[in-house]
Amino acid sequence: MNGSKKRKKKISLTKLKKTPLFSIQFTFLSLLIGMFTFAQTQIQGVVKDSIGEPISYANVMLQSVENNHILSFTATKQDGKYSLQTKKVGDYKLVFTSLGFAKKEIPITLVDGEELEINTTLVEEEMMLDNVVIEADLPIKVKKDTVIYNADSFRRGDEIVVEDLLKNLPGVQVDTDGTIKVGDREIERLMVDGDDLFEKGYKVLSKNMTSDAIDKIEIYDKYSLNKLLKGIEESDRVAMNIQLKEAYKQQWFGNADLGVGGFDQFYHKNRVNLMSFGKKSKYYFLGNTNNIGVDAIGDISQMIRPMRYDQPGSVGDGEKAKSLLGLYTDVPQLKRERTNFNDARLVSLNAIHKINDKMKLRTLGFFNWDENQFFRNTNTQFVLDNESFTNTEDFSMNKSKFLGFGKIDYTYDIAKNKMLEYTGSFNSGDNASNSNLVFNGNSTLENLQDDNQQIDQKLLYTQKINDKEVFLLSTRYINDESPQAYVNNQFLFTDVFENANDTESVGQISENKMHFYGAEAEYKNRRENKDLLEAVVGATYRKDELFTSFQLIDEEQNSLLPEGFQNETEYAVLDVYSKAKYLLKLKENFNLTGKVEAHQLVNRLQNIHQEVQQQDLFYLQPQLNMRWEINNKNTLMSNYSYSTNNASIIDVYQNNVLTNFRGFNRGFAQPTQLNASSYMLMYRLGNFGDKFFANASINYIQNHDFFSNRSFIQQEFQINEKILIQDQELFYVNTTMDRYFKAISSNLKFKFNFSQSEFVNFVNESSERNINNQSYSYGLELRSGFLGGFNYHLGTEFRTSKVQTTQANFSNTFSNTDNFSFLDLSYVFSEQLNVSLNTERYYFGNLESDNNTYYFSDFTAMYITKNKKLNFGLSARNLFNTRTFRNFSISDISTSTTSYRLLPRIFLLNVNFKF
Amino acid sequence: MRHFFFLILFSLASYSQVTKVEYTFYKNLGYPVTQNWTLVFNNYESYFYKTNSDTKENNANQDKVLNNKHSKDNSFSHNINFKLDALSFYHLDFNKDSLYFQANVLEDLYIVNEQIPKLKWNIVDEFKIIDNYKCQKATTSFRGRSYKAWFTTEIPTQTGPWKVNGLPGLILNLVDENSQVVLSALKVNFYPALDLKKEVEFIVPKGKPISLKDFVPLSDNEIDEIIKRSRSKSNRNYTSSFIKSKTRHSLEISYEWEQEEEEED
Repeated sequence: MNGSKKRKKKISLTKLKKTPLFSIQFTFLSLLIGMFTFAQTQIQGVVKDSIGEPISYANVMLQSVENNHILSFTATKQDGKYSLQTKKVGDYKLVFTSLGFAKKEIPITLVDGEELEINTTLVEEEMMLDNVVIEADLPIKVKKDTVIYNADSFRRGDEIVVEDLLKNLPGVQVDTDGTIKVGDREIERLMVDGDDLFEKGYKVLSKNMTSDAIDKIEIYDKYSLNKLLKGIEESDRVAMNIQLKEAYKQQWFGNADLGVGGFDQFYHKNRVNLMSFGKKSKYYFLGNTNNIGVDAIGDISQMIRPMRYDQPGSVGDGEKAKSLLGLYTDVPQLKRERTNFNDARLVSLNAIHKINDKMKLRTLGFFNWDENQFFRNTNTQFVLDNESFTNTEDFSMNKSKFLGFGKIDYTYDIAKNKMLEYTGSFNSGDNASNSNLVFNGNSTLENLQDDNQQIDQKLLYTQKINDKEVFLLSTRYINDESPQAYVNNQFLFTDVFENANDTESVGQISENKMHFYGAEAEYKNRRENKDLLEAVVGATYRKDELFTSFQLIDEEQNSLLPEGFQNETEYAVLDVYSKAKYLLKLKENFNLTGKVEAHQLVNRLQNIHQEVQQQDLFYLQPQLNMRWEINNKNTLMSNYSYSTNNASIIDVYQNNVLTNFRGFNRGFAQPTQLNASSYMLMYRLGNFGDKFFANASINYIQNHDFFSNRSFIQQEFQINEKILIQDQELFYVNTTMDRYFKAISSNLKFKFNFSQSEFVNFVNESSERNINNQSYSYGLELRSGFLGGFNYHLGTEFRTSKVQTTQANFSNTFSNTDNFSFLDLSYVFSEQLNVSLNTERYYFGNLESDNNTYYFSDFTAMYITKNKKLNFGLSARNLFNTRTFRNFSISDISTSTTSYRLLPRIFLLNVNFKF
Repeated sequence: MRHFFFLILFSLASYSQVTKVEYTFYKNLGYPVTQNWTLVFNNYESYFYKTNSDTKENNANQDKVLNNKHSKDNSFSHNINFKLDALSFYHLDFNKDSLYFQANVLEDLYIVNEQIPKLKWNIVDEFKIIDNYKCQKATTSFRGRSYKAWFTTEIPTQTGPWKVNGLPGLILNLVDENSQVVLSALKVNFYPALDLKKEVEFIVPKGKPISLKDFVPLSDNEIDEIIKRSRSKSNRNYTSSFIKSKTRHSLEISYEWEQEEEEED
């Protein structure tokens, strides 16, 4: 070997004299070759079986003699031949193995540069070992349903804020509006070090916090809001948690978005976010103002009352006092921003304090001020069996609103399996409205003072008995008051109050006070076979006091309280109930859920100057759900339920209450229940990702009892008396079909809806009026799904409604067809620049042709600088500067045309910067 | 002559000992999935197939990244996955130097062909006993991932689970450096003189044959196609955004021919 090396060196030396450059390279090469040859020893041979047939794919290993370590290995080819290279010298063994043959070891001595030929024969031998079970050892411990991402391994260097990093995670998607989805489910929360400040308002965090701060990202699948319910309750929620790097804790950061614009007046939209996440305390501050119609609370509504369905310990949710009187400010089917003349300001502070390892306190407080204006003109044509007339209303309103809200959440982890949660909130609202209404040529001034105060306290105790069972105990106390004071400077009710000719104005003061007490115990048991049993026992007690007083006021401000227009009602409802729910997994693809509620109800009603009415009632509410995945493409769901709804305070008062400037309502004055049966069937063909995907549902509801009205309608006023009728029916059908076309990367959607309801009412001296409402709509949409650049979405929908009234000597039909169409275009130039233009067209078939069509167009452009510190936006709203919008509506007694005043064309330039 | 043929046949049949190994196949390619797979082999060929799974999620196409539920409307949740009534399997045939596997792109099923990948193993001087088997460590790089394997020469074979092959013994444990892919043997069964073909009778290739090189672009495009489909079905409130193509989050991150192209550049 040494010799060959030297020889090659000699050659290179001779070459050197001729061409130096080439020779240097050659020398280097030849040196390499020399070393290579020096180190290599080759072993080759052929492996055969006992009858001389070659053994293919047998393993050939060079092993050390003392400890069997494999130093080099190969396998025989199809013809049984092998060759093996090694750099080793000395005593080794060559080992031959193959399935079905006995292992063979041949000692060899490797000498530098010497080739070895080892041929061998293997002896057949069946491996007759017992079947072996191996203890699988996964080197990573995956917590069940939790995925942990190490942030650093997903950085590409161009991430600025949290959502940029999230976009890099496999399986995570971030939409333009900031919605974070895991797969295709939106996350329930985005927590920071296990604390949730934002609920569903998490975009504030993901769009602002620097991605550098992230150490780890955890995704929790089958997430339970109450951690002790994990693994027991049914959940397909998903949540995300960000673990911060040590250095970023306690740092303050945030952003500000400042927007200004307008021609006719100064328009602005501003917003400041500021936050800090420490180990002990976390803070989030928000301030915003705008006068371009945007609801300021919208930002934090999810933080105040997060929408959570089907959560245990929700006894009392939705219990509140009622207001009976309102100024008619129904808004048309337009974006709320188009009609909302406002001047909103909001500040909020949200904080979490970790008291110790077991206790956590979360506080939320905000104040919202708003000045709203609203304008409309309504022309209503009443068509009744004995008369027809037209009312005109020219209405404008100013409203100043104040809302203050405070909330405390206290969590105490008593032990690993025991938890106590307390939530207390205080809500105070103060609304003052002044309206100027010209009614059939008469000018009236209305004034409404509308207040609300609510205290809500909740205590929830959770105990996990074992892996399969959990017990929850919750109590709730709610106190809600909604006083109202109304004055109208005109007296429109001369026909109602005959001896009140000196009346100048009218007024009404009213108040509903409500106390609610509730306690509920709940038990959940996840059975071995995955079935789920849930049982609840509880009791609720709600006591309402309703006071209303309608007053006729004369010139000297003397009030007259007409009889039949005053209410003092006390209504107490005690409901002791138990609920049981069982989820039966008959097969993997067939679920059956049965639910039964048993209620023992005690109603106690006292109206002014009336006997106390007491009602004891026991009833059952059964419900049955079925979900059947017939196969990969077909899913069927059905539901049946029988429900009993107890009449509420706004049903059971006795006398007239003023509900708007020309209308009174009279209650039913008796405790009663409304029973209904409902049937639902849903069918789905295909999956969401398929080229063809269709959904259809049919609902049928039979209201065995139903509140309707006996109305007394005159041009100047209307009195509705609540009556109970039997057997009202409601039927509706929905279908959607989607077909994706790959060639144009677009989806064609077809929608069809139909609904029909039938009921009975009475107007003036009429006999029974049978009302049949029908409406149907159908539409098409085409939307592209390009991943960058240009995208379009266009659609049109026709909506037809028909109201048919039939009575003994009279029948009448109103019908109306409207059309809504839109065209949305967007262009993404790059990650920095995107623009979009959305255009809408509204057409009302029953309006005169000169003003039955309305166009709206909104434009936005966003420019994001490379480091995302500074972003610019331009938006233009209502480009056509459409100032009024008229729509047409029909009912069983009237048709009406309403025109609304709209916010003008607004250009807004905004700057967004981080700090 | 006839005797000779008979002899060959006899010897092949009698010495084709069949071994069956059950594995758990853990993949965290954006979403952690644990599946049961079985490797069955003789000296010449092997099949690696998904064992009839216990939960329905496992039937779904979980190698894909975007496989989760779409936002709920009503009570139907949208599953963006393509449940196919076809078995996932890998087949290695050493005599033909061929590997093929069954996979789908959206609703289309394919049989993807390639040559058996030649992995360069680096045998490491580390040992451990997994159950009663003495295992040695070996490392390799394969299509963009670095793997660490524990193999035992006590079960001599060339083949291995998934596409991993070429060690002088059965791989009982295979982990990639990011712990995103983990294969662990659970149980080993030996069947002397069993016909492998009969053992895998139920493995019927159904898909359209395609070469790996032609398949990869289709597969790469799948996520985009799913996003396009789901976006184009959304309502007006959803605004389309710019989507950066993500790096491949699959078992195989890069392919030999791509590296060659890079080198050419």
